Amino acid sequence: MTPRKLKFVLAEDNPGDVFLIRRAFDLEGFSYELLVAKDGEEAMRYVQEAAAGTRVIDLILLDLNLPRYDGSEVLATLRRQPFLAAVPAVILTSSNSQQDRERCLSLGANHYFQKPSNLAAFMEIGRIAKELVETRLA
Amino acid sequence: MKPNWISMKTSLPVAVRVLRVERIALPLTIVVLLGMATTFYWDWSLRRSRQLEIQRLQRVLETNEALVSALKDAESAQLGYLLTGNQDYLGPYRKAKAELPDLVARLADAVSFPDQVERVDRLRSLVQEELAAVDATILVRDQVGPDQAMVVLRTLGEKRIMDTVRQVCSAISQVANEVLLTNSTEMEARYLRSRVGFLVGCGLLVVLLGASLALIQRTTARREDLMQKLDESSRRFQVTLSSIGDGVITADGAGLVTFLNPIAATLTGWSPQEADGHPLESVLPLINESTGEVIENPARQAIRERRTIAMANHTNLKRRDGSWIPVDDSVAPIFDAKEELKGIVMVFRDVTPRRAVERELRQWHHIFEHAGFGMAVLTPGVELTLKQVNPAFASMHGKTQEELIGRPYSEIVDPEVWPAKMKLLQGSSPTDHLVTESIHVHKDGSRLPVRADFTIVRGTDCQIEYYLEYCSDVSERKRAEEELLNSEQRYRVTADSLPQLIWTSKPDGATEYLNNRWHEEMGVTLDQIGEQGWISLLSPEDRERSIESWNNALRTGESFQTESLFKTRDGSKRWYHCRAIPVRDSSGRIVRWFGSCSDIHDQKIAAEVLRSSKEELQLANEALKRSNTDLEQFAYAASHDLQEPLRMVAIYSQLLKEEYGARLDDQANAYLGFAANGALRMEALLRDLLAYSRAATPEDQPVQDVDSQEALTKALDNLTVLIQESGSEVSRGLLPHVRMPEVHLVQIFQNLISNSIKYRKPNVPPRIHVEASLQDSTWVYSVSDNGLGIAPQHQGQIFRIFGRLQGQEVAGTGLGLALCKKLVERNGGSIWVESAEGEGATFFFSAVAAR
Repeated sequence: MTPRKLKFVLAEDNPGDVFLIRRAFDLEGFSYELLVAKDGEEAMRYVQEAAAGTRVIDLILLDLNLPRYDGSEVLATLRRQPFLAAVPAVILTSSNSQQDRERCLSLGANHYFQKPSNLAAFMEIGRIAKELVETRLA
Repeated sequence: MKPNWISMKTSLPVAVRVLRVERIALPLTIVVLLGMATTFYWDWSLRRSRQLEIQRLQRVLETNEALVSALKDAESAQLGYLLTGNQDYLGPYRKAKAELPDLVARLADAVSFPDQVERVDRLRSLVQEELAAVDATILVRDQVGPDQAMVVLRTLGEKRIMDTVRQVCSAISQVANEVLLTNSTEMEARYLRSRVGFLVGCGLLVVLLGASLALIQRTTARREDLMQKLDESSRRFQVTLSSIGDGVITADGAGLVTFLNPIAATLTGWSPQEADGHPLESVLPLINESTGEVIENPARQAIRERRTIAMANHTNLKRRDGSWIPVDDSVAPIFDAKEELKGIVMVFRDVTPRRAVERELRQWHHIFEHAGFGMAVLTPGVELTLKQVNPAFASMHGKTQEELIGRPYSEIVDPEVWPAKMKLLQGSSPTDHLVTESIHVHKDGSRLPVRADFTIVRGTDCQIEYYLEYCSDVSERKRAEEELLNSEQRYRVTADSLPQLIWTSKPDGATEYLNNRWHEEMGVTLDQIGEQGWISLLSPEDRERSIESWNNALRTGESFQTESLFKTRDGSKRWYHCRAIPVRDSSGRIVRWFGSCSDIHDQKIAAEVLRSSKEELQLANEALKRSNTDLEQFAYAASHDLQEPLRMVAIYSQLLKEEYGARLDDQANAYLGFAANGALRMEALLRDLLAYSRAATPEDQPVQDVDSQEALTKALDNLTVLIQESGSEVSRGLLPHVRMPEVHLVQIFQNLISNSIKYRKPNVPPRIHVEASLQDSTWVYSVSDNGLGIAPQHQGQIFRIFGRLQGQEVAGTGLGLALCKKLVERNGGSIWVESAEGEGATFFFSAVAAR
């Protein structure tokens, strides 16, 4: 049985970052499908569809600084859904604020990824995603 | 001579009681007698009227009887004449006929009851009828014959008339007899009653007489007894007055002498017999001691004013022989039981010995008062008390006599020498005279070395009555005082020459000196404003505060300083700066306050102006602070938002180089390198700028106690790469807990250590040491290195933002130390550096110790 494609949702308005994340996942050798939401509202819609059972999400990556709703609001909504509490969620941000980090972790983020300026460091996101998905599937 | 002025007041009540009983007995007797007399008179007059009645009744009976017998006589005579015709028989008839009307009239006189009067009237008509019938029969006999006469006699019914007469008469006498009987029975009863009344009255009189007699006898006996007692007491008085030590003279209400006792006789030179009846003034002439004038005898005054008079002092008696003696006397008026003045008694005595004693006492008093050395009388008791002190003693102690008299002796003796002194005084001394060296206490609290001699004065029973202390000041006090006076004069001259207002006060605050400036500026002298001094010149609106401050200084003894508003000479109000400091003696006691007031009005006004400009400055400062904050917030936002695109530049330059580098020539690669490097440096710059601005933004870390060991470890973890690459060694000493957010401390350590590594000497591995030491409850950290060091002239600029000392050859943004400074200061500390060029550097920063 061939493994099914993993369904990833990425809420990110910066196409540069979207490209880098795809590259990281590709380097990791995932078989995946990436659904990109360009703002918080779109991300929120995917979450609601998942809650209604019409969409599957294996991992969700949320940029903190998004138009309409920010990443932490989407995260909070996700964690309120009964069947989505265990969906791995990664917060992406360029902020190094300690407060933001603590707030997101307390809302139920599995990882808080501060986007680095170093290419190699950025590619770490692939490994992080893999670990979370594998832990979940296991 | 018998004194007649003694009133027997004590016996009076008895006599009064006797008199009262007598007064009751006598009227009682009179009442009884009057009662008896009235009864007898009434009785007698009643009996007399009864007797008259009885007599009248007896007359009625007699007349009635006479009437009946006269009628019988007339009847028998008629019959005799009728039968015999003998004229002799007519004699009695005529006689009876003549008597009858008279008898009837007498009977009518005697009767008194109405029915009796009626009977007599009937009797009168019957008698006339009878007499007429008899006359008729006699006439018939004479003219017709005896037989006819008998017939006429029978027809006329003479016999019936006679019977009726008899009936009427017997009724009259029967009624009279009844009345008589009633009267005599009543008389008998009355007689019996009056006899009983008489006997009772007599009995009562006898009793009363007896009682009166007994009372009179008793009163008399008592009076005799009293007289005897009076006699005795007057004798006793006489003996007393004769043996009394004072002269006694009595005089009557007119002021004539009635009695002299022997002493009075001796003092005046008059014998009692000679003096008797003489006016008091000639027996006892009194003269004013100082003027020699005769003065009014106080006896006159006593008589006039009816009260006791004491003779004026300094009175002399001029004796009969012309010599004078000082006397002292008093006069008392004598009143009898009716409060009437009966005379006076005057008691006087020769006060010559007393005057002598007084004179002597005055001398001693003079010595006591004016002695140049201190004298005190001490009385033993619960504690030794100052009974009397002389002025020298008082002034020696700086007090008045009143302040000392009655106070415990211990109050003026130095407490240290007191026990020894008491022991000395209580110990027995064979001579009763002690010479001691002692230390007394002056009113101002200073010690007063004295020589004190004691004389113990004992009473008859050898008990100590009092101590005499002679006390002389052996200190150099006087010299010191003189010196003080001199220095004070010098000081006053100096004070007068000063531009300030100078004053001094006693320890209690009473002003004792004002220099001349007070007069010049305030227009007052000490005499005008008195002890209240400068306080009285304060302007009312500011008065309370200044007085409170001054009183506080007086109470605590702390120096006094205030700015007060005074009313000056020209009426304007000016601000003065007043200060006062206490001047203390060697024992630390305040002896005076020394004060000055300087006119600061102009400065104060200037300061007000300055303060308002300062406030303006402060406002400007706040505005600046606000704009600074705004700027920092802007810097935060900007650096945060700037990072995003910069990251893109950096990361895609890397990607470009990685994926296309092989296809580019060397020059293109170098260009790409510059772009990537520039982006990275820009990123570092932004990161530090962000940290720096965040250090000032409200969004902040909670203040907490942090273990600086842990903070240092975290900082070193963050710097692992740099440390390894540079081959640095970081050692640590004592590192405490301090109060600041952990991230701040980590950042400070991190920046300082990375700084030390960055500015290392070429080819010398960095050696860095971190420790802290406690200085005045603040921890001071030091981070020392063996690096390049900083020349003193540059040390000021290193903490400024972008204040770099090195070019681009050393990695750094120029924000590290500025950020450290900001973080340290945010947490209440300060940061500095000690270094010499080429000698390494030590950075110090302070932090508040953990709770």
